[in-house]
Amino acid sequence: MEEREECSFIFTKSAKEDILDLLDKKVGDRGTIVEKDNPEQEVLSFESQELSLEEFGGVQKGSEVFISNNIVSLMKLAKKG
Amino acid sequence: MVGALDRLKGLFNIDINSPIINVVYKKNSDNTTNSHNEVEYNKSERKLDVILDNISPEKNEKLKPIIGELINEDHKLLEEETADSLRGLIEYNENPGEDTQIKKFFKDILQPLDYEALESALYLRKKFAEGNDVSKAKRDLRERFGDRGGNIANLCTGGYFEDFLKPLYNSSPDKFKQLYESIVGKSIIAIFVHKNMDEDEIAYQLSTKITACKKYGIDFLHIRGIGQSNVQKIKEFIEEHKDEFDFDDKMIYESDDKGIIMVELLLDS
Repeated sequence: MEEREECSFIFTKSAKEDILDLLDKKVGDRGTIVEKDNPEQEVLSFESQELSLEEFGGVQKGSEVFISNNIVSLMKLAKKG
Repeated sequence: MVGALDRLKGLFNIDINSPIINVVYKKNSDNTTNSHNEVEYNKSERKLDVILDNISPEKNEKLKPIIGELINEDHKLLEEETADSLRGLIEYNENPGEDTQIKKFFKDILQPLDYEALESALYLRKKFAEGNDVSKAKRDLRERFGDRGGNIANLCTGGYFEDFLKPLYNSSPDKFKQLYESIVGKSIIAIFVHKNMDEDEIAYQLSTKITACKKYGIDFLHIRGIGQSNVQKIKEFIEEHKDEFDFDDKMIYESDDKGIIMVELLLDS
């Protein structure tokens, strides 16, 4: 099995909306993250909560699982390893 | 098979043999110099900056599936402060040190959401003790759990889980159950003075909490503050209002270098 290169991928706070665009998402009228092609569809965090741009902390595998930057959410993520 | 990182290098014609260990997606506003380059490589840090506002719309469209691919390869794509926080949390969980005991003790005693709050509060306490700014973490707890989250953060930092709640449970689980909600939900054993709290609010809390503590047979109440202005606020309040409230005596514990004050009011219960 091919080894995956160890590399971290991060983005700056100012690049958040550009990253969302690259993921075909955007900030909707209510200030939460929505699908670009279907703004009625909210993008939920891995805890099934709506995410504002401010709360948006990143994405991980699992059909694009969105991550909140709230410390309680990050603690759950950290425990998974 | 070509991985996402190789495809990223290919998209920007990056001919670098040395490994890249950090890819940072950023804007020109993040740089001190206004670069027109799409990418910049720092060899010593093995860091590749991708400057998103310098990328053409056509290339942006080609970047999209590469981003999708790197996520599929199980890389996380994280905002930089989030990445720092997550790293800190993983390190902490690998070695919680003294916090292991208190986590183990309360894991099966507290309701799951309270335990979740306590876990984060313990980390917050550790970072605070190390001199870090924990205001966001505190806001996060309040945002997630309301006033209860803030109370748990304050009680945890003040050592009340170890020094009061654990001994209380050990001496009487029934009394613990009786008092827990008032202590954690309403913080009856301590007033945590913050910058937005005025004299009237301190007086109100003092009055209601003295009554509550006496009702439950608790013979003390603490007034706590961190930071010079809060320390000063508490000192002035105690001096100006000492005759108004029904407590027997007080002890003042102050740490100048840490900017912390705790006033212990002894109650005749």
